[in-house]
Amino acid sequence: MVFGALWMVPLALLPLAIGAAIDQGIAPRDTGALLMWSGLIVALGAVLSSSTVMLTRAGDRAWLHGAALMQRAVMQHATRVGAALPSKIKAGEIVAVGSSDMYSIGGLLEVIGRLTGGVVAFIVAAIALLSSTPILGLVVVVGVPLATLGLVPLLGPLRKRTEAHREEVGAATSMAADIVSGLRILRGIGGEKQFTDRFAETSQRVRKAGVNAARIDSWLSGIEVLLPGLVTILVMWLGARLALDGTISVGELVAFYGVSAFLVIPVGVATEAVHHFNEAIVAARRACAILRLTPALDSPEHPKPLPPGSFGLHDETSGLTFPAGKLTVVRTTGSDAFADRLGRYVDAPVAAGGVPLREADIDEVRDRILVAHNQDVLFSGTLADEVDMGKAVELDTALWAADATDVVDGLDHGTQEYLAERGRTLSGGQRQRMLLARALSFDADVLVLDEPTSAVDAHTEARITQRVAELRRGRTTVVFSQSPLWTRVADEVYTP
Amino acid sequence: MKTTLPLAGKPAVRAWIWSVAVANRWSFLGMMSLFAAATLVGLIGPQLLGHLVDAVSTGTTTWHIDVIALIFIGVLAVHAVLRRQARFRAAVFGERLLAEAREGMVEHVVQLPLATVESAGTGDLLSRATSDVDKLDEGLRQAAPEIVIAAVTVALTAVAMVITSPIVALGMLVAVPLLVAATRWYRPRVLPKYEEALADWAEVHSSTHETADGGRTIEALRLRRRRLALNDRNVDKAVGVEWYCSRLWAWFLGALDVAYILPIAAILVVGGVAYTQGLAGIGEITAIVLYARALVEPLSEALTWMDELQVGNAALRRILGVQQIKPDPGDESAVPDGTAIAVRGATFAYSPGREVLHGIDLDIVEGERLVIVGPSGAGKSTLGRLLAGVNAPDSGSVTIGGVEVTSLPLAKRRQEIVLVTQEQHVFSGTLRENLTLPRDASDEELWDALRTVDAADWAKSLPAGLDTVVGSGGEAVAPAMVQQIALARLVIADPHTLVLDEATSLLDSSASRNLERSLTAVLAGRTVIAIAHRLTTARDADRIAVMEGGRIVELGSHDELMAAKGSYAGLVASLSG
Repeated sequence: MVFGALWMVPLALLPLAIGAAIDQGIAPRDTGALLMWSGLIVALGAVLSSSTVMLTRAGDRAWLHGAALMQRAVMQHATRVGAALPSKIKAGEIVAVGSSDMYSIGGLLEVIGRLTGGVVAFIVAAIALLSSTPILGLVVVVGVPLATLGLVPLLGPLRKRTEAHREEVGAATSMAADIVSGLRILRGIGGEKQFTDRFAETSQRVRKAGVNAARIDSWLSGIEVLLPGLVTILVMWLGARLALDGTISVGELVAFYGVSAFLVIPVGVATEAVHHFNEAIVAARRACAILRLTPALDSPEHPKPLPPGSFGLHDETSGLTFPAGKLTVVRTTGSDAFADRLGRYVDAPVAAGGVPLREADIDEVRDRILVAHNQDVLFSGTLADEVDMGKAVELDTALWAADATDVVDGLDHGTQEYLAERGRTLSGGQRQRMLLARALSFDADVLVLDEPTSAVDAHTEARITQRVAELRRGRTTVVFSQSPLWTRVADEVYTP
Repeated sequence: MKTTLPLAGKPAVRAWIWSVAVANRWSFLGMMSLFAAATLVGLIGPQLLGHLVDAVSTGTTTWHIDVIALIFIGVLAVHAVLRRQARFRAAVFGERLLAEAREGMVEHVVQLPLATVESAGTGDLLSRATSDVDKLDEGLRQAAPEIVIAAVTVALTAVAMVITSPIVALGMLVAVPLLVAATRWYRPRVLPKYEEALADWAEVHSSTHETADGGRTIEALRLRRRRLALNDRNVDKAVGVEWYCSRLWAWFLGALDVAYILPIAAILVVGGVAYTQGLAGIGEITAIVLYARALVEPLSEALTWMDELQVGNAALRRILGVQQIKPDPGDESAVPDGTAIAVRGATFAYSPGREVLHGIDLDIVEGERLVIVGPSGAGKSTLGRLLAGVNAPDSGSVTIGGVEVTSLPLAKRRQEIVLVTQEQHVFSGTLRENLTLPRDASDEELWDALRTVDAADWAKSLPAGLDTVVGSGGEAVAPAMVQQIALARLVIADPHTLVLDEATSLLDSSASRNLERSLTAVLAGRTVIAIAHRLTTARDADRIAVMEGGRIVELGSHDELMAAKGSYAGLVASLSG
C-alpha cells in the first residue's frame, strides 16, 4: 500500500512540473529553467519507474500469497473433514475453489495497493487545487467521492448475477470432473453423445449466466468514463472562467487539466476494485461453504485411551465379538455398514476391549483400527510411495502377502512405477491386490477387510488368504467374505 | 513417469483462431466497431479541452466556454454508452467462444483413447476445461479489443502529434529504442514460464481433486499430512513460477515507465528550442506534451493486454492439445450382416513391447452365453474391450456380422454391443440423468428398468425419486446399488450383445447371485459374454473360455472342460476341495 502511494506521487507531480516548464522555461525563453524542469521530469520518471517495480511486486506478492493461503486453508479443512467429505460436497467444487475462486480473492488483494494509490492521487490533486484555487479544490473534494458513490447501486444486482454465474461454473466443473472417472462407463454403454449434450446444456447455462452478469458489469466500464469525465468538465469549465477573469494563468489552467485528467485514476481504480470486490465476495462465500463443513463424528471432551496392543472388538448391534489377536471371518451381506460400525465411521455401540469407541479419541481409533474396503482410493504417484505406509510391515512383505509381487514384476519400473489416479492403469484384480497390500502395510492393531479378494481368481485368493493369516498372526483381523478360502484360514467364523 | 495430454502446436493455434475469426466475423466486426466508435468519441474530449485552453489564451466569452462544456458533457455520455455497449458485446462474444471451446473440448475428450485420458488424470483435464478456459476468456474477450483500441488510439494520437508540429513530435522518438529493447528482453523469457505455470497449476488441481475424491481413504490411512505436504509442494512450485513471471513483468513495466516519461522531457526541450526559433507556438507544444501523456495509457494498456494474450495463447495450446488426437469417425456405410462375432488372430498391447493378448481366435454365435474365466492379469478384460470395440486389435480382427467393430460409428456400435465394466461410477447429476446416458427414455421405461434390476424400491425411497441428485456431493449410493444402476442403464441401452466384465465382482457373492437372478430376465434373448473369476457364473454357461497369459487355453462347456481335466477342472477342484 505504501508503494501504491509512492507510485502516485510522481504521477501527481508530473502535470505540475510540465506546467512549470512551460510557464517558467519555454514562455520566458529561459533555457536554464527549462533544462532544470525537464531534468526534474526525468527524475520523476526514475522515481515512478522504481515505484512501479515495487508496487507490481507488492501487488503480485499480495495476490499470490493470498491465493495460496486460501487454497491451503481449504485443503487443510477438507482433509480434516475426511470421510464425510465426498457426500457433502462435489470434488469439482473443491477444485473450483482452489482455482478460479483463488484468483478472484487474489485479484482483490492485488487491487488494494493501487486503490490506496488512487486515494493518494486524489488527495494530492485535491491539495494542489485547494492551495492554488480553493473553489476548484472544493469541486474535486466533493465531486470525486460523489462520483465514486455513483457505483454503489450497481453492486447488489451485480453480486447476485455473479453468484448465479459461479453456481453454473461449479456445475460445469463437476461435470468435467466426471469425465475421467466415468469414461470407461460412457465407452461401454455408448453414453458419449448424451454426456456431451448434457455438458453442452450446462455450458450454455454458464454462458447465459455470464452474459447476464456482464449486462451489469459492462456498465462499470461506461461509468468509469462518465463520472470522472464530469468532474473534469466541471474543473475545466470553472478553470476556464477563472482564467478568463485573470484569476489564474493559462499555464495553471494547463496544470489543472493535467491534474483533473488524473482524477480519472481514483475513480478508475475504484470501479476496478468494485469489480474485484464483487467477485472476491462470491468466491469467499464458496470457500466458506467448504470451511463450514464438519467431520461426521467428534472426539469426546475427555477421551479414554484404547487398550494397549492388538485389542478385540464387540459389536452390540449384531452381538458379535471379535477376539483379540484372532482372524475372524464374517459371512454376511451388507458388510459395508457392519465395517463402518467397527471402524467408527458411524456412531454405533462398539467396544474395544471394554472401552466404548465413542468414548475414545477419534484419532486414536483411526490410528489403531483400519477399515479397508474396495471403494478406497489409490492415489497417483510411485507405487512405493503410495502403497508403503511406512510402518513396521515392509513393502515387499505387504506385496507378497497380497500376492501382488507378480503385478510389480510386470511393471516397467517395478515399485518405482508411476501409478495413475485411482490405479486406473491396473486391472481390477491387480488394483484390489494393491489396496490390500497398502492396508497390510498400515500394520493396524485391528484390521477390518471388507471383501478383500472379490476381484481375484481362486488360485490367487488361496495364496492371499494363507499369507494374510500368516502375516497377521497374533493381531486382530476381521474379514468380511463369503469365500470358503477365507473360512479355511479363520480362527473364528460367523454366519449371521 | 506421469504423463499429460499433449499441447497444440503453433499452426493448430493459428488455424483455430482463424476459423473462429471467420466463423464469427460479423459479431466480431460489430464488437470491434463499437470499440472503435467508443475510442474515437473518446478522442473528442481532449480536443475540446485543448480548444478550451486555446480559446482562453486567445481571449473568449464565457458563453463560448459554457457551450464547449455542454458539448463535452454530451460527448461524454455518448462515449460512456458506446463503451458499455462495446464491453457488453465483447462479453456476449467471449462467452459464446468460451462455451464453444469448452464444449468442443469435452466432446473430443470423451472420444479419446481411454489410456490417454486415464493416465493424464482428472486434474489435467479439469484444469484445461476450466481454469485454462478462463485464461483464454481474458485473452479473447478483453485483450483483443483492448489491443485494437489501444493501437487505434496510439496511431491517431501520433498522427495528431505530427500534424500539430512534426519537429516537436520528434522528441517522441526517444522512447522507441527503450520500448524495443524492453520487449525483446521480456518476451522470450516469460513465454515458456507461462506455459510452465499453467502446467503447475494443473498439477495442483490434480492433487486437489484426488484429495477431495479420496476423503475416506485419507482419513482411514491417516494420509492427511502426506496429502497436505504434496499440496504444499505443488502450490509452492506454481507460486514460484508465478513469482518469477511477476519479477520479469515488474522490470518490464519499470522500463516502460522510463520510456513514457523520457519523451515528455525531450519534447519540452525540443519544444523550447523550436519556440525560440519561432518554429512552434506555446499552444502547439502544450498540445504535443498532452498528447505524449495521452499516449502512455493506451500504450501500457496494449502491452499489458499483449501479455494477457500470451497467457491466453498458452492456455489455448493446452485446450487445443486435447483435440490433437483425432477420434475415428467410423464408417457410416458399414452395415453388419447378422450378429455373429468373430475374433481372428487378435493381438493387443497397451504399450509397445508389452503385448497382453497373443493371437486370440473366438467365434460367438447369436444368443450364446459365453463365460471367460482365468487368473487376474490373463487379459480377460482386454479381450472384453476388444469385443466391444473400445479398443481395436493391433493385428487380427474383431467383427460383428462381418464388419470390423471399431469401424462402426459409435452410436451404431452401442446398438450392437455394450460393455459393462467393473469400474463403478455415479455421475454427478440426477438418477434420471445417470440412467439415460445411453439414450433418452420415458419415466415408465426407467421404472421398468429399475424393477428389472431390483432397484425400484430403493429409487422410490430417494427424496426426489428419479430426480434425486446422486454422485459427488449428492445422495450417497451404496456400492451394490451403483452396480444396479449400471445394469439398469444396460436395460435402457438394449443392445443385442452384452459384455459383462466382472460386473458383479465387487459385491459380496450372495448379492451378486441376487443380481444375476434378476439379470437372467434382462439377458434373455441376448448374446452374453461374461468375464468372471467366480466359477458359479460359469457352470450354467453354454461355453467357457479359460484364459491364461493372454491366450485362450481351453474352450468348451462345463462338462467338456471337467472331463478334459485341464486348468478349469483344477480351478473348480481348488474351490470345492
